[in-house]
Amino acid sequence: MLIKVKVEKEVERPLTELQKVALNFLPIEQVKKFADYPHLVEAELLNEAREPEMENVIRDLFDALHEKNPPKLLKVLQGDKRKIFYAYRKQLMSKDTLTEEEAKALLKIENKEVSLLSISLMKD
Amino acid sequence: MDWSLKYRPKRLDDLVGQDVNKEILKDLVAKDKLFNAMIFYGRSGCGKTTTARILVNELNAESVELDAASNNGVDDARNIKDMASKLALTGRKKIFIIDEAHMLSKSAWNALLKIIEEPNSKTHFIFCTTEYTAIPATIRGRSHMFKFYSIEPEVLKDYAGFVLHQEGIKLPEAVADLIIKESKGQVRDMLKLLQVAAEHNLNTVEKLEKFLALPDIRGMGSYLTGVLTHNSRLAVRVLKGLNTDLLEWRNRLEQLIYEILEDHYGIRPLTYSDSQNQKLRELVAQHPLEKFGKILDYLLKVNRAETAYQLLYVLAVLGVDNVN
Repeated sequence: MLIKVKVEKEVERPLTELQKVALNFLPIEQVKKFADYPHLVEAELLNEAREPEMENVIRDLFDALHEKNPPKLLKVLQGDKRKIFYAYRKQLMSKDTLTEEEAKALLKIENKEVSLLSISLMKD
Repeated sequence: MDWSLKYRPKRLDDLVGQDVNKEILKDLVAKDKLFNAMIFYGRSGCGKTTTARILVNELNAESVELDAASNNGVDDARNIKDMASKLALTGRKKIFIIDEAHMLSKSAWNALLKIIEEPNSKTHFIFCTTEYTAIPATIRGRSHMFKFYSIEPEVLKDYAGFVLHQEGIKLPEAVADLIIKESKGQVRDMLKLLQVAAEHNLNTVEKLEKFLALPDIRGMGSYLTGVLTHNSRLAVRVLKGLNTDLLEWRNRLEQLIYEILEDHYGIRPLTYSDSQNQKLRELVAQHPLEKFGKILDYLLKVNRAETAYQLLYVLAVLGVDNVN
């Protein structure tokens, strides 16, 4: 006798407001599970701040370089600095428009690896 | 016995750190309700596979493990699909743990997609990976992701204290601190280092540094001083006295420069001896930041073992203002 296997699909639940905020920092796959655990979102965001994904690192990196803010930059550069540099250069090279300082940075790093600290210290 | 095996967690409660994941998974276990597909994502050594196995135990489930690094083809995926489509004879939950899931081929993912789209109520998938973006969006969209973060130093320190207490061993705090620093947020590595330190009586920082062949920070501080102050004799003397892997030394020097700057800006304090910390702080107080940036730029050129000595020698002889 064949036994019919019961198919169980998970019901997609609409995101709460808190989950929507978390989406600024975490991918949707990571956020969905918090539907029943809203009290854990803050703790997860603190974890993420300690060990952010590369796309968030690069976003903060652009801010730090734009502000010429070495302390902020050093906070951003907590992971693999070489990996961050190449991700930054890739992002810079794929931009349609560049600010003047981004253009200068691109000129400096187009063909060689340079410390991001020295880019943040570039004179105007 | 290997401490990393002896202290491998058997229950979710035993997991070190990972508090968010732990709380959610414990709740799911208590409700006997698991998500159909889950991605356990994070750096290696953070407890992804261990946690997956704990879930199998706690749910009294049957498990099938697949290492996708060596079984990544469509046939392997079809095998899983066949197994998954049959309910466990015992009626228990069946959990498929796919390790290194990012290594699965596209055709393997396609073979799995249907079963993940329409899972039966007793079948669950846990994909363990270090690169979640390498998992197809169609699978990700149907999964819940748990990110496993590196363990915070203070949590590791507490756990090191617990293990040493269990083993009836005492280690100076400075030695434990160095072990935690070298473990880089990984429990397994910390346990291994802790055991080595205990069994080889590495009860001083110097002994541990020597055992691990860690570069001498004092020498690096002197080399930096020589480069910054154009005291080539000092810098060259350090370089000539080195008996270590020069690329590793260069990496440590780069790390030290970042540590000095992080300390300077109050991001994270230096963790060496008081006198070493003092000397390093004086360096950053006496020299503009640009010079450190120049040294970091120069060090990026030192990337091949064959030329590492020559390039470090050039920096020692010419000083920071005459390179780049």
